[in-house]
Amino acid sequence: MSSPPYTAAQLETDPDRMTVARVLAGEVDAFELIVRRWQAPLINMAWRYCRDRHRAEELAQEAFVRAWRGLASWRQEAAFSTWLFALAANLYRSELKRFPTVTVPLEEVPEPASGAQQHDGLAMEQLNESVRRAVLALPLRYREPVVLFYFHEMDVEQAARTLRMPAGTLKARLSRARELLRRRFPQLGRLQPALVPEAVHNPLEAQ
Amino acid sequence: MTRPAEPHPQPADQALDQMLGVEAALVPTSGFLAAVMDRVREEAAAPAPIAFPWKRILPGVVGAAGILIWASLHGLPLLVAAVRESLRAPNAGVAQIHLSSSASALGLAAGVALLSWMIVARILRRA
Repeated sequence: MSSPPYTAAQLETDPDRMTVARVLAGEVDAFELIVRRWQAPLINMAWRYCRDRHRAEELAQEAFVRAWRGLASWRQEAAFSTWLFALAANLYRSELKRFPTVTVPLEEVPEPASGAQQHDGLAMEQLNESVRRAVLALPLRYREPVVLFYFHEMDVEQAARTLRMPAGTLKARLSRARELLRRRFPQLGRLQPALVPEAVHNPLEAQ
Repeated sequence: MTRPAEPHPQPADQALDQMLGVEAALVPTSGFLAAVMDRVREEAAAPAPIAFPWKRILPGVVGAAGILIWASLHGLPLLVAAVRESLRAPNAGVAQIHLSSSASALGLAAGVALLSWMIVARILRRA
């Protein structure tokens, strides 16, 4: 592997850049720092693609191995995380096309509890789960923008970079995906935002 | 960094944002890091992949390409001329001679091309 061009200042300010430089210089064990730093985000990203913990770890492991193989191809103009997430998204997409995760069609996603029960916390949890399952049942072109938009904490630009598509295209697909979900779950429009239960914490906090 | 996707999101979209925006975080299992590093070290220790044997294959490829070019330059015009001749003068005897000579030239070319291909395939299998 040949060393990419970088300045001393860049190496000091960007820990990933420094680690990659060490790995490319032949220090294999330095790659552990990269895995340590990015394992939680990559596993959580894979989880959002397949909702299967075991498979999420398998996919993330494969993503790291691919990253190791292709480390020299990281053009240093973009952040390391952008490159890594794009590589992982590409891999997750192709792997899930080869071996699709078991999903039901959107119209067959089970109905959550009735409207009368909406104030019940359990019913809300059910609706929550149904909506998440419905995301997996969306066609891939709409599913992926949804998955990555929420993975990137609703940052359109970052999600678009990960998908390597213009932000406008991502917004359009996101809008269409939301429309499909609204149509499937009309009760979403009647919910008070405060009633929606908060999840435990954000995946990215696990870094 | 969290911000709404649209300036005035609908209530349904706000509900979706709340439902999908936050998720319980998965913590990597204890063996994950070690498993990844084992695979990486394995890859690092593996010998470099064997280079494609271009040098051994090149003569065969060049030969096959040459025969194909020769066939298309000489065989096809012969065939076209013979067909044209047979249409112009329905003298079956003359046309037959042209056609049979063209056909045999083409057959020879195809045979040699096939032979070259078989040689290349065999070299590839050995490599």
